[in-house]
Amino acid sequence: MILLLAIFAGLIAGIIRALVNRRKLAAPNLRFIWIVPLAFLPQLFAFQIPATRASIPDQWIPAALIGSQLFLLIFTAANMRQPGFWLLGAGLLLNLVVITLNGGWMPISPETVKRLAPNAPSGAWEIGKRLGFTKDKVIQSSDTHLWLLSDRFVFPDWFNYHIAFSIGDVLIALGAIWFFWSLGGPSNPDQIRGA
Amino acid sequence: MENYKNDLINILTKIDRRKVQIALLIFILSMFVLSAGAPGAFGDHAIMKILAGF
Repeated sequence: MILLLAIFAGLIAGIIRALVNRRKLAAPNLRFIWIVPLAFLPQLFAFQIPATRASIPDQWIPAALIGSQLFLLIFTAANMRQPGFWLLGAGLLLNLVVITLNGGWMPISPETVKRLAPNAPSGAWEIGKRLGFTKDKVIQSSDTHLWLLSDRFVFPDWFNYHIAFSIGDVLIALGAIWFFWSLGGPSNPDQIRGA
Repeated sequence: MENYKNDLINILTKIDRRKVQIALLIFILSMFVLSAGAPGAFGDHAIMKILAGF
């Protein structure tokens, strides 16, 4: 949800920018836009829809996740000249690399899980197992490839929003904000052409 | 039937193409960030609900 908030924040910023500049919000043509829903579908069934995510075997998840993100990488590369897309692509690539190197799962350490849910009932999670129906698998930091890129960041306790996120997630959020912010700025010929 | 068809054509011709395209961008980028990021951990409170036994 917080990544969607990044889109919302960027959109609001873009609208304000357009109002200040006394122009309309731009509507760039993105290339290969159809790839995104295609890439989203496997993840929709695997992670979002309760009825399907519970019935999909865990061993199918890595292929679905990596395949889906590879498609997104093609979409990002095709639109690299759009503002913010290099950040979106960099974030996606970092997540994809750490997921691929860890067997198709985003690693999360037991310490991070404990910080997220200190009062979780016994047996709610287990080292070496998938964390609920998420993309994450609980893996010891020492056994994690590229631990720096894993879901290792959490918000401070006072923030009262208990989530873990990776460097890649941060870049994706920044890229989304930048893209929507750019829609309120001066015309960009590349955006109009979709080049 | 003809009335409905005319109404539909009227609606479609009045739609601002730019606004439709912006709405599409929001929709597509939302799907993108949810797929490129790691929902569950960096998504919503799903992780908490799962861990709390929902």
